[in-house]
Amino acid sequence: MQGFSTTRRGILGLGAGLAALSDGSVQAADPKRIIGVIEEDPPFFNLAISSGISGSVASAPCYSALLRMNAEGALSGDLAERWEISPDGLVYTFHLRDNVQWHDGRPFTSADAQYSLGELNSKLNPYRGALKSVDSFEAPDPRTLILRLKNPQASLITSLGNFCGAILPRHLWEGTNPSSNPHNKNPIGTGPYKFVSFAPGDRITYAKNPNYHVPGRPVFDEVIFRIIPDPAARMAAFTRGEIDMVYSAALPATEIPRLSRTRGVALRASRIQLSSYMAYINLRNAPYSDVRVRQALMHAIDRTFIRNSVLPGLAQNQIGPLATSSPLHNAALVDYALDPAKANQLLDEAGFAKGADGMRFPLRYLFGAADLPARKMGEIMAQNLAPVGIRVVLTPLDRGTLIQRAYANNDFDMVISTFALGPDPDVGVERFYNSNNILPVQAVNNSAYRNAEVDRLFDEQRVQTDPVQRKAIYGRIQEIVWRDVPTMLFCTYSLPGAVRETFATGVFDTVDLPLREDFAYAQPR
Amino acid sequence: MGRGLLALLLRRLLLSVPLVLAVVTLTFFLVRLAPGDPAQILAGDSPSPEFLAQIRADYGLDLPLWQQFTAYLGKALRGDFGTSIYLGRPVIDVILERFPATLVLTLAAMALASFVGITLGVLAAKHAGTRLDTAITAGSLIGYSVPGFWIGQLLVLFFAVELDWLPAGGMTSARVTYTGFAHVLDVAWHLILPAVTLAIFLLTMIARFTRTAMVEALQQDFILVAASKGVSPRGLLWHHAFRNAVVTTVTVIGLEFGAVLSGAVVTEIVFGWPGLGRVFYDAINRRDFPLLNGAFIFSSVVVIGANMLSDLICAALDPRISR
Amino acid sequence: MPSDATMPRPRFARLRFRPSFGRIPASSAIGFLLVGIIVLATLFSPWLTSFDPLALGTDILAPPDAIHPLGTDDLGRDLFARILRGGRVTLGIGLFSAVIGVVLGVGIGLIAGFFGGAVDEALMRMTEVFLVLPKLLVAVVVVSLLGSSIFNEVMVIGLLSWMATARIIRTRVQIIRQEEFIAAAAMSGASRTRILLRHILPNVLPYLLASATLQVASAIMSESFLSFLGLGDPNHPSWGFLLQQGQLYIDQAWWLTTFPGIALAMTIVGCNLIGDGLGESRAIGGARR
Repeated sequence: MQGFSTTRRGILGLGAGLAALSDGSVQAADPKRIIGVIEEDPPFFNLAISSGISGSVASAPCYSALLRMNAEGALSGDLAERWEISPDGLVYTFHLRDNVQWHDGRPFTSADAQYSLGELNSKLNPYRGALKSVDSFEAPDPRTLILRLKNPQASLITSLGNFCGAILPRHLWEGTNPSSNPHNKNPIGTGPYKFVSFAPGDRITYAKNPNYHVPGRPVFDEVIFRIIPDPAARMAAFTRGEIDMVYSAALPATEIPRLSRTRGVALRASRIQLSSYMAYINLRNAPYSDVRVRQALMHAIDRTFIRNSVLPGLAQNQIGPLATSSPLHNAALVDYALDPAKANQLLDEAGFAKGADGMRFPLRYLFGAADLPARKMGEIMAQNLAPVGIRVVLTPLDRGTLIQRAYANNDFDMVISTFALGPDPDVGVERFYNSNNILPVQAVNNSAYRNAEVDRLFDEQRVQTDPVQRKAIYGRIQEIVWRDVPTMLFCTYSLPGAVRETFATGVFDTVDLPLREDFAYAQPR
Repeated sequence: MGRGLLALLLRRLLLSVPLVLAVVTLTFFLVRLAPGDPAQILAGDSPSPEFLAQIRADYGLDLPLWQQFTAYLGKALRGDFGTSIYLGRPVIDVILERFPATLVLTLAAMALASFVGITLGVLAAKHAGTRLDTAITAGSLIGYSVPGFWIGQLLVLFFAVELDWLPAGGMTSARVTYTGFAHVLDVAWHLILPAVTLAIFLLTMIARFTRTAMVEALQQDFILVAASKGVSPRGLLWHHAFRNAVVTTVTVIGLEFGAVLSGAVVTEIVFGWPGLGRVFYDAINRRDFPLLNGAFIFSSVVVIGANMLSDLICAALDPRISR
Repeated sequence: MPSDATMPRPRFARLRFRPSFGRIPASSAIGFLLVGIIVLATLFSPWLTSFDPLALGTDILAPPDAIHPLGTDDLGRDLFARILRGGRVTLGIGLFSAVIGVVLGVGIGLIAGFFGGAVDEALMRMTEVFLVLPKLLVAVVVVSLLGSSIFNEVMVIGLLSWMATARIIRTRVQIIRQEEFIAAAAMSGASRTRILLRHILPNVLPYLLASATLQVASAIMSESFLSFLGLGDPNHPSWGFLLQQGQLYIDQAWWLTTFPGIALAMTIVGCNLIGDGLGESRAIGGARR
């Protein structure tokens, strides 16, 4: 038990001994626990209706999906034993396992999957767009689920194994109000661990599901997530060995260089899924409605310095709205050169002359007060943009104010956040640029970018089954978006999760870590 | 307790009713003026509009503000403080669940601060004008002038990370679940660093005021009388003068109770201590209006209660004080 | 407000004694020295360093050396230059919020003490409401509401720190009111306003110097607490802000928290020493009459 001092163990052992003597019982052997950490109380334990990162992490041990995706992006069956896709791409047939039980003892059937996908995920899931080409969800018999599509959708299968595929028990959800169903806080699933208790501000406890459908799994008796909001406190606990694993979003980027040198600690990053530090530029108002101004920003901001100083060794240059590692990425795009003179020239052309103080106009840069990389990016940007006459006003806001001001009231020039780009751009990227997605909520097309050609191309590629054709259409989309600069694409990155590999293996191996990390394959070293 | 004391208590109780009402009204509108939609915070990224509307309806957030206020006031008077939006449980349960952790932390800190603070204060007064006095005075001045969160972080770095003697945070071990007496020891083990952190500020205050009170008391007539009656110097110091110093300490704690609670918020954040301070702070960030209102009411009642208690104790100890 | 903040000392007037730091030799002098060094250093920073506190550098997280006497931060900025610039922000916040607190406190205290009756009762009830509110949390709510800027920080700290001064001044005014020269002034036909401003105000002013200095100290402390909670203004980094930014590097780059922390503590110690010194000489001269 690393991290425990001998003195302490001695005292506690004595205490335990006394306690055992006093109530005349002998304590059972300590259960094997794996301890993780989470940065806030999760709002929901429900992957089907909410994508908040803490809620997704906290509910993952309890739920299963139809499919499971490994670190390389390959799919295998989870609740579905096997599946077939018709040659025209319009009918998906899933053959479900027959040995699966809900945590409350009821058997799992295709009716559960039909209800979860058709009523919850496709209506309430933040990534519900991924299911919009499905015409009907059918359950012809308890072991078979059939999805019939209006048009072929290449990304559907990855979405089901990913953001949009959590299966919930129909008998506990049907006819209830999804926002106030008590099982949002007390999840019943088919996953490897059963939810035991949630003490807000302290910890969440899960116990092994003895009836899990994969024989011999899971191995740990209990999973515990401690809740530690302060990043310094979180890392102190990990350093001391009080915690065995920290998933990527809870691991401050500043700690990674140190942890990479720490013996016994493994850093695991998803190999195919990337996130993007991206800022919406508000196209509703001048001067940012002028494309030349936005292009000037691209020429003036030193994105290389940002990558190297804010996310050293973790970030990649992002050229275009897709990650450069995406199979659909358009390699022909040319990066904007760092060229303040060109930026000045573009701004002059756009008609925004420098004032007496050398400034042309301000840029109100909104970011989450707790988002350290975003703050640093803003500080760098302020230095980069002052010479071209743009005065950056750093505006840190707490989450509530940020949502209200940026996303509901659109009162910003630039607002930064971090977004998962998803395994397929249909799910992770289209939402930012399709004009049908200009809504007063977060993580949609908040720039108010409208380009009829882009809208049309998104529709065209969705029904395109030929991968070469699809890539060509996506190539054109990227070209236009890259030229129009509706968003400031700082970089893509992949933050690793950290795990004490001297303690456990099989952790953080799933592709969309941490969203679907259910710890089914975690085992003690 | 005389009748005077009882009357004092009654008067204070009556006066505190409008005080609490004013706090309720003020904070209700204050927190709701803040921009931010609890439904969006709860729902996360890309929520569907229907889902948001449903959450707002669940908590009556779609009603006009004054209607929300009268509804809240009506329920609160009957003891129903509503349901936390973010945590989905009754506000009163959340507060009562988390209060013990804060109580343990603040009581431990106050006990530590009183013990060490009085000892240092008495020592300084006894040796007034010497180097010891100067050292204690200077030390308490520095302790008073360093931000508590920084002290806390340095303690974690040194005692938890470097020396590996004490846990870095939390209230109980996660690795092993202890029961009975072992559980008490486990909590005590986790309590040391946060309690010390929280105690430092109060300790320096108590040391300084105790010193002043003792120096003053030692010059007063009753001490001279006692000395002339042949009471030993040691007895003098600890018995007579100390009684006065206790009044000081109780008053300091009573008056600084609000500040101690503020300090507890920060300490709980630094140490991941699952107490009320963090509930308050989280509730602000989550725009959890019912929980936040409940928290403001609870904390003002606690502060009023602590002030009253300390006045009563002082009045009981020292008949000269009456208000 | 944070622990030490704002009110402690003056409220002890109720205890019928004043705290003191005992006989530290020339404690005020030490206080003036500490604060003087800091003030001069921040005022004359261009002569002390050639670095721009905002200029980015490639020398990231460099420990203190001959070039960067206090090291560099995570964007390669010179910490010494940042501390000097941050001092202006911190001292400014301390000074201006203390001024707001004192002016409000004096105004309310004067009015309550002089007019008495219902006015007094209403003002004192209001004071109690403010005393009962958890100040740190109210400040967090308000700064979240209005946004993080030094102006908002100054306002909120000032608006939450007048209560102690108001109580002290009220008590003093009540005492002074009874004195003969006030009765004499009233007899000679002076208006109430004139009495208030010409006769009473000058007599309470000496009490303010001490409590104003102490309030500067507690305002600086309050600002550091707000910064710790992520509410500092990144456009004008204060010492509290630097301290908070350094937190994540506390075990990798000790200088990032140590030096801003020392600057902060030095200033607060200095202000407290000055305030206590002033309070003591005043207490001897006035309070014990």
